[in-house]
Order: sequence, then C-alpha cells, then structure tokens
Amino acid sequence: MFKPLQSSRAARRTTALILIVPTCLLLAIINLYPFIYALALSFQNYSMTRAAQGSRFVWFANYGAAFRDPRFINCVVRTLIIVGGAVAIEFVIGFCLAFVLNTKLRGMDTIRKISIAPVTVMPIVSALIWFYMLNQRYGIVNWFISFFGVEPQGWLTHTTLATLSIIAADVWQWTPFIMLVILAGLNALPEYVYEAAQIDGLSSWQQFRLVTVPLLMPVMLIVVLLRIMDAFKMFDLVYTMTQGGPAGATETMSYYIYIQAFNFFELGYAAALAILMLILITIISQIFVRWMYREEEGTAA
Amino acid sequence: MDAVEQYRQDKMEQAARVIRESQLALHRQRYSIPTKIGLYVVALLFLGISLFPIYLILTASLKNDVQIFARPPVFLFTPTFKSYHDVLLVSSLSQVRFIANSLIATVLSTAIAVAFGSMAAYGLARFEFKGRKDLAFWILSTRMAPPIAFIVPMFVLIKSIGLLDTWWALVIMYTGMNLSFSVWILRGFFMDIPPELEESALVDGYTRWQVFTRIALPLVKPGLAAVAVFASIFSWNEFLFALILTQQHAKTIPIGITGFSSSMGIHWGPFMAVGFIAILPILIFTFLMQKYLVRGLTFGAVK
Amino acid sequence: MADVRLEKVWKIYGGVVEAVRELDLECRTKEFLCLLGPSGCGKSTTLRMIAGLENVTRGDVYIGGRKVTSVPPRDRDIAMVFENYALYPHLTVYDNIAMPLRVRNMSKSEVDQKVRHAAEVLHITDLLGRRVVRLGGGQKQRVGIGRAIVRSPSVFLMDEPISHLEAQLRAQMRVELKRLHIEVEATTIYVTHDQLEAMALADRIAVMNLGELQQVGTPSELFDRPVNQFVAGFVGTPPMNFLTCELAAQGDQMFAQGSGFRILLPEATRARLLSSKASGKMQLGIRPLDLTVAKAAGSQTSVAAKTFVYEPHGESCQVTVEIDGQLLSIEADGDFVTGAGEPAWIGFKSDKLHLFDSVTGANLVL
Repeated sequence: MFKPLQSSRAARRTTALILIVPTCLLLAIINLYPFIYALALSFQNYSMTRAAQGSRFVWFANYGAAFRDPRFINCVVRTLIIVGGAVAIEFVIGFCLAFVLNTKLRGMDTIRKISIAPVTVMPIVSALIWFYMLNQRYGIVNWFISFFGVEPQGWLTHTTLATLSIIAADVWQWTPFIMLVILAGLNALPEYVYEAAQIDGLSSWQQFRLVTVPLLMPVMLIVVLLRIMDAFKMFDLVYTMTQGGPAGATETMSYYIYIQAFNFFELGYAAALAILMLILITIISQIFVRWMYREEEGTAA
Repeated sequence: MDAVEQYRQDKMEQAARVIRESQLALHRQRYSIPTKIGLYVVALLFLGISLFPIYLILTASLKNDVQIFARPPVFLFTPTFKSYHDVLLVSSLSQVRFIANSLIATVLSTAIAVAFGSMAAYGLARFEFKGRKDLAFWILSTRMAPPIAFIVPMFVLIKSIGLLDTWWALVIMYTGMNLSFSVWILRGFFMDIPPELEESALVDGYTRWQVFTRIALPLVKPGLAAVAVFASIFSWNEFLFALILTQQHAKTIPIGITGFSSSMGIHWGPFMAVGFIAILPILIFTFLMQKYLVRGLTFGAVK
Repeated sequence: MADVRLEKVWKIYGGVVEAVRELDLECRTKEFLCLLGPSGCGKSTTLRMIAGLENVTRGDVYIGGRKVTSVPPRDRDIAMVFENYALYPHLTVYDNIAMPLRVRNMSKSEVDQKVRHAAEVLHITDLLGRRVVRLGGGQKQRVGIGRAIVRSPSVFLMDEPISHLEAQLRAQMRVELKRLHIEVEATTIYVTHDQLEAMALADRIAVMNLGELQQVGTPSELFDRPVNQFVAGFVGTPPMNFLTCELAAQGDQMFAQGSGFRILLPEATRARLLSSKASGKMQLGIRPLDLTVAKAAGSQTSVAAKTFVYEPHGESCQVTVEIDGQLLSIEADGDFVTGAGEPAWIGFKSDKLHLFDSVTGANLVL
C-alpha cells in the first residue's frame, strides 16, 4: 500500500510550530514582556512609596537624572574597573595555565579534571567563604601574610582592598573556566600544521606567535566576551561581601539598581538604570562581535 | 567475525595503542627536569588555590565553634558532625525545606529547559521559514540581558498571578534563563547530524515528530547532557531571583544560607555545613559528567 | 641537490611494534624515488624519519653525505608536501609560500621575487591574495608544493600529496609533478599506495610491505622481474594472476601442472629450476596481458576453461575464466565477444611465466 509521505507543507508547518512555540511563549513571558514593561516603567516616575499618588509619564527625565546622579556615575566606573580587572586577570592566568596543563605530563589530565571545581561552587557560598577568609581578625589570609611580616589588613573595609577582594573572589571562581575553554581550543589545533611549521624552520616561539595565537583568536574572543557579559551581572559577591561599600567602592551597577528598586522603591528610576545597563552591555558585546567577525572572515572553513 | 579476523584486529588495536603511548612518552621526555618541576609546581599551586576554599568549608563544617575561630588555625582536630546535625535536624535551623525547594526548582527547570530547548533547537536547525535567522538571534540574545533588569516587572507579574513565594515562580524564571543556552548548544548538535539519516527515516514512513524523538534526540545525547549539567548548576546556584521572589515558603538553599548572617554576626558552623551540602552535589555531578562539559563550555566555538 | 641514504634503519614503537625493519635504501641525487606499498607498510614512517618528524630507533640517515639522524627538521635542508596540505589556515596563499623564507630573515624584495616565481611555475599567481581556506583541493596542494619549492632545498619529500584529489584532478597533477621534476631537477622521495602513480612518476620504485623493503628498481624491472609474489601482485594493473601448481617432469620437458591445466615451461626456466632444485607446491604467475583467449582450441591456446565474467572496456575487454575452481583474468582485444558460461581456450605466453614459492613467495625463476 502506498503511504503518503508525512512531508506535506501543512504537516511540516504544524510540526515546526509545535516545536518552537513553547520556547518562544516562555521567553516572551520571561524576557520580552519584562523588557517592554521595564521600558515603560523607565519613562514614568513610579515609586512604591508614592504609589498613592499614581505615576506620571516623565519620559526621559529618569535617564537625564541618571547622568547627573554621582552615585550612578560612580557605579558605572566601579563596574568597569571590577569587570575589566577581573576578566583581564582571569584571561592572562587562564591562558598561561592552559599551556601548562596542555603539556602531556603524567597527572596533568587529572589536575585538569579536578580544577573545574571553583566554577561549580555556589557563588553565595564562595562569597561567604571569601568573607570568612578575608576577615580582619580571624581570616586565614591575614594569618598567612603575618608570616611575611605584613600587618593584618582590613580587606573589606578599605576602598582599594575591597575592590581587589571582589576581583580576587571572581578570579578564583572563573579562571578555571577560561583555562578550560582555551585548553579545549588548544587541543583542537591541527597537529600537522605544526609539522609543516617545523620543516619550514619556525622556532618554538615563532610557532607560538605565528600559528598558535592566530588560530586561537576566535576561541579566546568568545570566551572573553562570555565572561564580560556574565561579570557585568555580578551581584552575589557584592551583596554578601561588601554591600557596595566601603564608600561605594564596590557598588556595581547590578547592586545599585537593586538598592534603588528594593531599598528606595524608586521603580521607575531603577528601570531606567537597568535599560542603560543593558545598552552598555550591548555596546561592549557589539565591539567584540565585530572583532570576532573580522577574525572569522579569515578562518571560516 | 571469525577468530582469525578478531585476532588480527586485536593486534592492530594493540599496535595503535603502543604507538600512541610511545609518542606521548616522547612528548614528556622533551622537557628537561627543571622545566618539568616548574610545570608541576605551577599546576599544583593552581590546583591548591582552587581547592583550598572548598577544603576550608569542609573542615570548618566539621569543627566546633571554638576551632573555627582559633588563631593560629587548627589543622588537626577530631571531626564533629554537630553542625550537620543542627542544620538538618534542629528545627529552628533546619535547612531541609530549603534543600527540597532547591531540588524541585532545579530538577523541574532543567527538565523543561532541556525538553523545550531541544524542540526549539531542532525546529531552528531543520525547518526553513521566513525570519528564522532573526528568531534564532532573538532566542540567543536573551542570555545577554542582566537579570536585574527583569526583576521588577517579573516581581509585579508573579505577585499579581499569586505565584509569589512558590517554587513555580522559580521554575518559570530558571527555565527561561536556561532556555537560551539550551537552544544555543543543541542547535549546533542538531545541525551536525547528517540529514540523510532523517531523510531515510522519513522515506520509511516516520512522521517528522517521530524523526525528532526517535532519531535526532538520541543522537544528541552528549549535548543534552551538557545542557543538563549547566542548567542544573545555574538553577541550583541562583541567588537574585530567589531573593526577590521568595519570602518564606519557597526559599532555596542560597537564601537559607544568608539567613545565617544576621545583625549579630554570622553563625559560621551551621553555615559551613550547609555550604558544603550546597556545593557537594554539583561537584560530584560535574565530575561525573566531565566529558560533556568541554563541548558545553566551548559553546560550539571549538569543533 | 643531494642524495639520501638510509643505513640499517629501524623504527620500533614502545619496544614492541616494528613499523620499519632494517631498511637500507638510497635515493640518488636528482632522482625521483617512490616508496610504494599498502597502508601500514611503513612507507610514511620512513619518509617522516627522513624528514626528522619521527625519531630513528636504530640506524642512520644521511642527506648529501651528512649524518642527519639527530638533526632537527629545520636544519636538514628539506621540504615536505603533506597529504592533507598542512597549510596555515589563517594566512593567504602568498603568506603561506613566503613563510619559510621570512623565517630565514630574507629581504622583502627577495621574498617577493621567489614567491612570485614559485607561483608562476605552479600557475597560481592569480591566487596569491586569497585566503587558503577558500581554495579547492588541487589549488591547496599547489600552494603546498609552492611552499616546498620556494626554498630550493636539497631534497623534496612528498607524502601521498594527491591521494585526496578526485581521479581527473589526480591525473592532471601527475603530469604537473612529472613536469616539475624535469624542470627543477630535484631529488624527490615520494610516498604513495597507488602503483599507477609510482609507475608513471618514478625513476626508481622501492616497494615495501609490513615494514620491510621488498624490491628496489625501475618500473620496468619491477614489472618484468618482480623478486617475489607480493611485488608481482602489487605492481601492474590489472593485477597478475596466480594459479596453484606443481612441477612435473616428463623426459626433457618440464611442466607446470595444476588441476585442469598443464603448461610447458621454456628451456631457460627449466634449467633454472633444476639447478635450484625447486620442488613442491608453487604459484604460477601470469599477467592478464600475457594471456590469450579464444573460443576454440588452437596451437597457442591449450588450456580449457569456462567463461565466468565478460567485461567490455571499449578498445579492449577483460574476460575472467574459471579453470577447475581457480579464476584467471585475461585482457583481450575489444572485438572478442563472449558471455558467462561459454567455453574458452586460454593461451599462456611462455616467456612471461613466473613461478613463486608457495611459502616464501620468492621468485624461483630469476
């Protein structure tokens, strides 16, 4: 009996819809709707403390206020410093470590498998354990540096040290991530290109500079971009370790928005700040994506 | 396969193994002794720093209050399970409820994210329709947005539905956050499947849905595993949404942990115990799913 | 240009796997030597040892009289063309070819001159600005060759450079490589598993099997006087036929006798066999070209057979016949027509008969 193939256009369209709609629906609720709502909020002067008065559309007043808000300017700067500092350090260390762990020595493979541990630790737990380690009186860090004759430091109570502490906690947790991705990239490099390089006469350093680095560029760019996007959202560390202090030294954008929304209840203003944050992240991502496309142009297979 | 063929094949595999090992050995010999020592020092230092805080949690969870604060730190001690006992059995401190909530939220959101995500990924990979590229881009871009931007609208929405402080709220949010990642990874996996496999199934009379469930899905198991691992990690560890959307009944482990720090200081013993309970499952799960992680981590950037 | 010499070279992996066994081989200056054999015979390993990409377990390698056994590849003055091209994927054609020169700190103008010259020789001048990822297989391979010739090294090593190309392109590249060799006059060692390629390109061919050198010689030497059954069966297409047989003497004559046939051996062959006291089971070897087939018995065609398969090939045809259970392939003229099951009469050209020992495979008649 001849059975008609189930590939008629209508059947295909139905199946495609069934497959895609649930996800789109969920994302529309969780992503699109809040975005539109937040956008609408940002144009109003809605505040829960003044809810009785209702809210007016003030359009770009919130945005204007943001640019004149010294605390906001501060948090943008602090966020850039913390994100920039953390990701840069994570990248440099992760890059070097990838090469160390890539040597085919015995046991390096096991070390690699275990080293992912920090990435899996609950950020809030990580934050609290760092809080514990950095405590001025009973923290292990101060005990350790006393061996070098250094005074016990107020790691979370001095502005520069607090910034460094937040960066350190982030670096501890995410360096293995960058290392593992670059390591995977290293392992994917074609071995025979290096044989040709040997015969062509390239020294080890030249092989590194002229072959390894260019071929790793796409991977490195992607992992740095990913890290930057995630680091921008940093909340747990600040909430736990420093609450934005001392004197706003570690007040990141996420934290400030949280304060505005849930401490001051200025929902309209908080929404505007959130939109600004989204714009900033998008701009930075775009820069990287353009950079990546330039690299991809050359190496697309 | 007859015995002679089998013997020949075994010999060839054996030979291949010997060749691989001797080439590895050659790699190892290329480093001088001081270089090797240096490399090991660096690697072990890195490992030590990575594991130290975790070690700290473990040991502190087994110490009594005096030992936790002792200066110089106590390295040898008799372990006590009092903190674990307190945290699980003493009702005023009990975290069991939070653990249950975390489990429910994690398992459900991961399952739904994998299910819906794989469907959408397959749809995007195999079906051609107008606006496919834009749709894919939108789904992938939802990962970029900072959660803090959604928190207010979602708080209002969830409160108005009456789902505030239920684990449904968390499941919805976590699924949403994991969907983007799920689609991203799985689309790549589905695109790697040779279309001929599916086409021959269609010719045999399978419906497209059956092709998806019986042919495509089994072939992307590594991708599903990678997504499951990362989605679970994210949901289990998530803090911000849990903070805002739960008050009493649906509190998860991260929120429960912050309950140990009050104006009177931090109750370290129980905290360490919960902390370790919080990180142990993920540590084990990750270690077991090792080989699926690399593909997930590299997000298809590395083939 | 230099010559290459391998002296008692062994390659043993992990003390167990013998990939290359006591190899003594010489490639003369400006000679095109082919290393031919099936996969796993050790030919690539040998080439890589000459290149310095693999360590020599025992023995020595000499290039131009200089012992290079422990010298790294970059100091051996060699160039290599790889099976999978091994081009630098992120660079242009120009940069790929220029790389070995730039590494040696040559002046920009000199580099440019040499690169352009190489590109001209290989007809890829219009591709110089393109990224190599966008090229087809044949073009990529030319870039690989360009990268090799641009340095004018003493020795060229080629590891199955055209085996990944489609048939027509391969035939084209064969011609190109031959022309290149004549023009550049380079000492070349070329690895391949395709005996047609080897026969067409090489001055001499070294046949290898299971790590051991079987025979070294010119194409015609290998074709007409194979030293053992392996070489006889490997070289030449369609491959040589083998029939199990025994020697039978009758008065002054000697016959090769098997089930269903009895073939008179020429006097010279008989004399050789008598003096070497060969006996026992043997393999009679005869090439399809050296057999004749007819529909009726004649003076030339003395063996009865039954047609098994008939394949017309236009100008010629291939007839496979069966003699009491053993199959025989004959290449005949295009206008000979027959069909499966029909009787056939086979003639053996007596001066083209080979006899191989059933156990050692050695040619008993040389």
